[in-house]
Amino acid sequence: MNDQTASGRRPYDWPEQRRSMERTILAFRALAGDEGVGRDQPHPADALQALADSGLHRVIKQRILLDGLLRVRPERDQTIDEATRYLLRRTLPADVDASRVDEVMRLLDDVVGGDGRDRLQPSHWEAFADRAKEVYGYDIEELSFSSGCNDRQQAIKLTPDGQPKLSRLIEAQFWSNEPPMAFARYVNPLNWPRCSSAWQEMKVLSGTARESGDYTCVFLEVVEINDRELRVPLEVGYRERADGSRVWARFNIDHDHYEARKRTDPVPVDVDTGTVSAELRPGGPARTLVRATKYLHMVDDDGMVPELACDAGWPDLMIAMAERCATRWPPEEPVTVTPEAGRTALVDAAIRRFVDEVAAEYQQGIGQTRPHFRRLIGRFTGASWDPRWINDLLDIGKVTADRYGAVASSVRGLADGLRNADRGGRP
Amino acid sequence: MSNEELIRLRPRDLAAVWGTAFGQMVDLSRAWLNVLMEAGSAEDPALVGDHRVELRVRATDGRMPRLAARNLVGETFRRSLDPSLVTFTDRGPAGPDLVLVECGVDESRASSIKGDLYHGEVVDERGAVMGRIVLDAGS
Repeated sequence: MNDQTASGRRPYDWPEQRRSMERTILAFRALAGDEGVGRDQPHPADALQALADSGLHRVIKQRILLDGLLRVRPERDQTIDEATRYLLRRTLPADVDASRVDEVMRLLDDVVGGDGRDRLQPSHWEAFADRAKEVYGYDIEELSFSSGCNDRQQAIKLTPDGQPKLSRLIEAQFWSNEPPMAFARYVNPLNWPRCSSAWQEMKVLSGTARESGDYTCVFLEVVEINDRELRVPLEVGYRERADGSRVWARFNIDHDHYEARKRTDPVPVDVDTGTVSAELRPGGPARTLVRATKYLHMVDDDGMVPELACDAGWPDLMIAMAERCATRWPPEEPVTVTPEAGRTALVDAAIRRFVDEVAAEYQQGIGQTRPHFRRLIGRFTGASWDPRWINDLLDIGKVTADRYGAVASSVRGLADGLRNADRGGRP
Repeated sequence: MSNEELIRLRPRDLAAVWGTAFGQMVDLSRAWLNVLMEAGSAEDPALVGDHRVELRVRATDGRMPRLAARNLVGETFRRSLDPSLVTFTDRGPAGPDLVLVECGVDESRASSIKGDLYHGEVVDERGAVMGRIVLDAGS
């Protein structure tokens, strides 16, 4: 396996999870009579049941449920209501009594009630999460999660041929108390196949991709959405601010590869650009704003792909990142071994994660202090005395302080892990 | 340097040292000022980095003043963006003597723009800075 290819290191294999998302979305759309959706879709009740039983994060399940119910307001029936209750019950924390599902059901009806058809808007999730937070105990990432997902957000973008196209804007964001660098693994496109079931591969075509530190290179991005594989050459610039206050990646279609493939294997999209970032933003509801935007335009008329990229793939990427790449959210699946063995395994995993994180923090910290330390020594040993060594000392101190902050976050993660182990792995 | 040598040093012998140290203090205070300017940026939607951002500026005769963008540089690829591509739309009053202005980039007038988040300033006709913006432009 090529070291520059991330797919071979993918520890999670969840094509079934992704399909359960896509099937539920398509099932609701078919029932709502959306054009372009095949009639051979499962009934939403069956799809919801499979979604509820999947190992997906509860925010993904609940958001897809909300979106579906908004789309089929006139067609909603008893079977859908029963499946809805099932999903809400399956996503309840272990220590919350199942009888509270009725209460959540009423909250849900308040949010999705009405006559006409609608689509999930950030305000819908905001209203539901705010009312249901007492039952579900949502954390700040879940409460603040916001994803624009409709036809109203569009912008003119140029294709590599210079043609202006009205492109769909897909965006998702949430706030977190973790420092920006805690999300570096997610922001780095090299890791996207490890973060999301939609990403099959990020293969380096030119340049060099790195696990950390700035780089610019061209990837072949291989994404699977609704059983369709999209292969897009992307030029990516990955950057980390020296003080750790922002980490981001910008991606654009690589014009040379786009042109070269025109005759033999045309690129299926002509606009695919955006930014993935985590940034310290004082004054917000939490420390760090994690944000992803993507402008997309398909070459052909396959309207389903951008819709699914919006409704499922992109928010999934965000949430899966927080759960898996940043190790902030514990796994949601119930432990299937004996309680004691399961608890031991969870404690071991939490300790292992903690040790890995702290070791990584110190390794990175030593690397980041190197240029300041080199300058400091240079000023001391230079021909004349240079009092700017104070700056270097302060820079070293700042790196150290940032590291202590990150280590403190890891300690909190360990504490959460131990607490969740006692609850059978549930947050 | 021995103690005796130190005693013989006059203040002006150390002028360069103190001058540099003073410069250092200025640098430090400038850094603190930058930190303070960044504080509260979460509440400024103009800095989030959308393809359209909104800015509150002081109105001239109750209307949007003549505005221009300058120093727009991409944060990733460090390319400059032609400021004349930035459009300003009056979105109406935003409080006493304030007007809400929507800024965007008219990409259809460009032949090619490197996709990036472009950081820059909005100035009035006298060149006074009205605010900072971060615009998503290009592809």
